Amino acid sequence: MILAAGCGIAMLLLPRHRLTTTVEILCLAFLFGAAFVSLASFVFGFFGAGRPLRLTLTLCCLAFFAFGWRMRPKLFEDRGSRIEDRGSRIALRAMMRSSILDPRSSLPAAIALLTIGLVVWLSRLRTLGWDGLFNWEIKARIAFLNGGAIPLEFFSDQTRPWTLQGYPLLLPLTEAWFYGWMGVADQEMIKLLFPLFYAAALGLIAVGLARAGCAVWQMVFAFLLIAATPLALVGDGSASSGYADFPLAVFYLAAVVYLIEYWIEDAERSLRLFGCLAAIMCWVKQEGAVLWLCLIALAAIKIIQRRQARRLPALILPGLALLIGWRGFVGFVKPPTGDNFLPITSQTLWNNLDRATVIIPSAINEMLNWKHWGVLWPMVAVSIALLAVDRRLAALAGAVIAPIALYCGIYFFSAWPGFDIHMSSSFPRLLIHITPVAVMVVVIAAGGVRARFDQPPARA
Amino acid sequence: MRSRIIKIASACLIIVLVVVGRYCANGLRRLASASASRFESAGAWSPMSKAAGGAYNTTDRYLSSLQIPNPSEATLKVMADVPPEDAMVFITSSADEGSELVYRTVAYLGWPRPIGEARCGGAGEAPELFFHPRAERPVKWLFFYRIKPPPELMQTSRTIGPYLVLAPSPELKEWKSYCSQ
Repeated sequence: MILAAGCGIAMLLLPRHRLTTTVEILCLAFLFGAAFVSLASFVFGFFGAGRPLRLTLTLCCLAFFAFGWRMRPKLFEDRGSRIEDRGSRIALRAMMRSSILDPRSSLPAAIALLTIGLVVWLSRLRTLGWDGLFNWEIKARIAFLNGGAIPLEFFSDQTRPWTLQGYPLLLPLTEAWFYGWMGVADQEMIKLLFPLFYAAALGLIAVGLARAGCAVWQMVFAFLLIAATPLALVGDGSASSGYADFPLAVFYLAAVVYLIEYWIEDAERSLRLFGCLAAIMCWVKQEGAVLWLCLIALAAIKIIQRRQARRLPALILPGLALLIGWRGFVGFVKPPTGDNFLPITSQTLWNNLDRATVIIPSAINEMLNWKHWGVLWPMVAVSIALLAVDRRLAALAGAVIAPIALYCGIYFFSAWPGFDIHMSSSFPRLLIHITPVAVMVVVIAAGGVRARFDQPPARA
Repeated sequence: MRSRIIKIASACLIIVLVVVGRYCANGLRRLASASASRFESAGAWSPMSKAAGGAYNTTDRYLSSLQIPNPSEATLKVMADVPPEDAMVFITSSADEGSELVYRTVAYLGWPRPIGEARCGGAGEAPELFFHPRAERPVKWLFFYRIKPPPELMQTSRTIGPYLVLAPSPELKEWKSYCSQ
């Protein structure tokens, strides 16, 4: 049902008359499906629970699929796509046909399957982490016990503020949807949801690289690089931990992929798709609002450069509606959670400016921590320097730099007595949000380096 | 010819990945254990040891300090006839760091009952109360974790292994009196 609803939504939103791959539709279907099912469970949950709720959602999922299916023929026509690079066209076509017998698609597919298998194995091996159980899965279990909707009294329960009742609900309500169909709240089975996010990340990296003009070898490099980043696979916030950080990273990646498409091709429908994916980030985790802000700012730069200001409302409204809606609900139920942050004012910033001497070295130390990140962030630093000369991909560099800067900046407002402890316990997880996009940056820069070596020497 | 070379190279790479993967697996285990060290300091959780499996995979691991088989199901069974509107309080020693994990797991399993926490300090000190239920939901049940319940509650109490006891409390006394045992 999740895939059916998501498939319908993806088909309605995807740009027309350009190469669209099955992999792309499947990845978007999973992301949009999870977003739709969770949001609809939350909204319809106010009116009822149990079998009527599940039946309503099932009908909505099928209706979306039916609407989307009517758009299918237009999606697979390739009329005048502006991607002219031969390598990327081969990569896209290989993905479209995705025949295991085609060597150009079988190698990345084999490596993707192997790494997904690794994440499944790790997920089975590990139990849910602290936040995975007490912040996310507990809400799924409560929703399941209540027929698919979280009861209102949970949000103001004085005895469970440690569940962070004010956090958005995409992950818990998606888990609850699975529980509803399984008929049991199963802490072991639900861990298999997270390799699906990992698979979606690999698919979207492949799609993003192909659209940015990359070849098949770069996909292989990307899959190996993300698998070689330890904190993407194991540890708090990783794809196997049951936390919302990796799913947020996948939504961020998807939004960036379509932002780049808009940046390069000036396609209005890519911008609409980007706006919807960016909006969903606000429904995954609170930090999603920070990422949403970064991407909207980047998109606004290009929109203003192209004098397309009329496109701004359609871009901003979905995210704004979600943010205002959720903040309004949280303001209404008043969850008993403590404040982790001081008021965000210039006065607070001025008073805490000396924290920069701790925040910047801590951030650099974390990014150089090879046990968490391997060699990813040093490679990202070099790659951003290489990409800086290519204005077409400036958005990609911005999508890495802007969130890191903002994430470092929030510790100026930390209310923890030892803000350095706050930073060391949460900053690694925040970096996970940007990791898949960072992998894309490295791989695209590597492609640029290789292209320079491949150029024939200029004649004297 | 070129495609045959790519096919052979792909097959070789997959074999290498499988072989290297087997060696890397132990490294990944060690890394994940290190990342979970803050929980291990709580004394009750070793996430990278082979999970037992089942619907209560995680909560069984978190309640392993109760030292009984299937601790989640045992806890649920004991709480089964506690009315959902009855509030409960989990009483433990503040010196026991691992008890926070046990409290939260019991509160996880105990939904929809409000479950607060009382942490007993040194001798004669009043306990610290956390997450206390609202006044309109009177506390009628007490959990005692690694603390002996008062003798008058012993007769009606139910044990969940050697360290956790659930006792009905028709009328609440001063919190300090529950810590003196």
